[in-house]
Amino acid sequence: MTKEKSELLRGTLVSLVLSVIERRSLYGYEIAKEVRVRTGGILHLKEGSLYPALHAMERDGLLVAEWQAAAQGPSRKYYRLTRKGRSALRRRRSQWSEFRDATDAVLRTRPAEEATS
Amino acid sequence: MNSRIADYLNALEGRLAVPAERVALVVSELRSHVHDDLDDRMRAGIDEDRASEDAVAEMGDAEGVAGQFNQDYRKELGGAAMRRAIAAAQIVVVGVFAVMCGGLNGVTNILAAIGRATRLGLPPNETVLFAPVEGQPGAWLPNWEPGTWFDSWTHVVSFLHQHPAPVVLLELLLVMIAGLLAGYLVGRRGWAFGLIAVALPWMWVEASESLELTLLRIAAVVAGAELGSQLQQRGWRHWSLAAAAGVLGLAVVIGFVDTGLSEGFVKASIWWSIFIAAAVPIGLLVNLITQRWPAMRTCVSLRIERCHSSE
Repeated sequence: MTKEKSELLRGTLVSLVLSVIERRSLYGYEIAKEVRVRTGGILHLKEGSLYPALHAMERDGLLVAEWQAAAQGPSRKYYRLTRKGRSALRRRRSQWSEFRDATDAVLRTRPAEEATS
Repeated sequence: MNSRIADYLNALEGRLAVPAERVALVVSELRSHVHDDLDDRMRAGIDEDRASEDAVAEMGDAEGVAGQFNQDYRKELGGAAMRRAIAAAQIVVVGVFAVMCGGLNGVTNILAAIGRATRLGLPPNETVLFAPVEGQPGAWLPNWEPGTWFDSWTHVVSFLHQHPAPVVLLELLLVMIAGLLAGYLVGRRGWAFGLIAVALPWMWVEASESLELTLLRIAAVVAGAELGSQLQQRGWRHWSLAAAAGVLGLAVVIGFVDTGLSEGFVKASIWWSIFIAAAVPIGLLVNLITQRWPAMRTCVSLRIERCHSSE
């Protein structure tokens, strides 16, 4: 992943996580996989960023976690949204739309267009 | 567990500089992660040796991954220390303010009562630090020499004693309780609008008598509300209710000791009961609206330029 993409991802990591566990509880590996699938493989959450972020979100009360025994292999820690997490997600979605539109407005304007407008 | 993965997890475990119980949780979580990753790769037809190599490579080098967890832990420690420092500073400020507003009078009366009861070798109704106020039975003024460190309090105490002190103090305590309850119930954003919307206009109208009194009332509301909000954020439900009950109890006791159940106390109690009843629903409504419609929160947050730009 390029440095630029990593920087962008860092700023949106919490929103992505909140969004993928909005409907159902998932554990770390599933969260990373879900993000990769939904973004067509463009975004890839590294474990070194994902797990510290999950733990911080748990501390902040956005998520609650529960260890569950797996039918096969080691136990898994499932994360689900709290009410605070849901309202944070709503807020982040709205902020993201605003930010994306604002950024687009700047990035899509080329010097030639400015000159003619 | 594949030996390559086990080695990786051991290396990671050795580099984690976090408490032991957290090391165990982190390693367990990463173990389940890499286990699933390995399974997926093998299901895709990759042989175990290669799959484990890829899964480990995917995780990143152990030092880097451990470094992220360590950094996160250091940040958490720093954040917790900062939060504790801020909370302590706020409690000190609120505490000092509460003492200035109400406690000093209570302490004065208690010390004076002790002085009266024990006489301390002095004539009745005279103590070392406090002297009775002429024409105001039960009220005591500081009796210390100008220029001592007590002197800086004198203005505040004298000001309070110029007014029917028990009523003013009880009112300030009740204002603080109102703020505390509203701050606790609706959070900072709620009190900022609910309390101020109701309290300030009323205070201003009522305050024609004294600017100092108005400022004291406003400061009492804000201090109480901030304390309530902090208590709410920390989930100290029982502490905040106990604090409110304690302050109210203290106010009642001081009221009885000082004046009996005076007309002023009853009036202040009624006023502030009405005030709490009016401020809290407004605060709750503001909180609800701003949570439900985030765009409105931006406007309500007085970031007017952003509202204009999004229109």
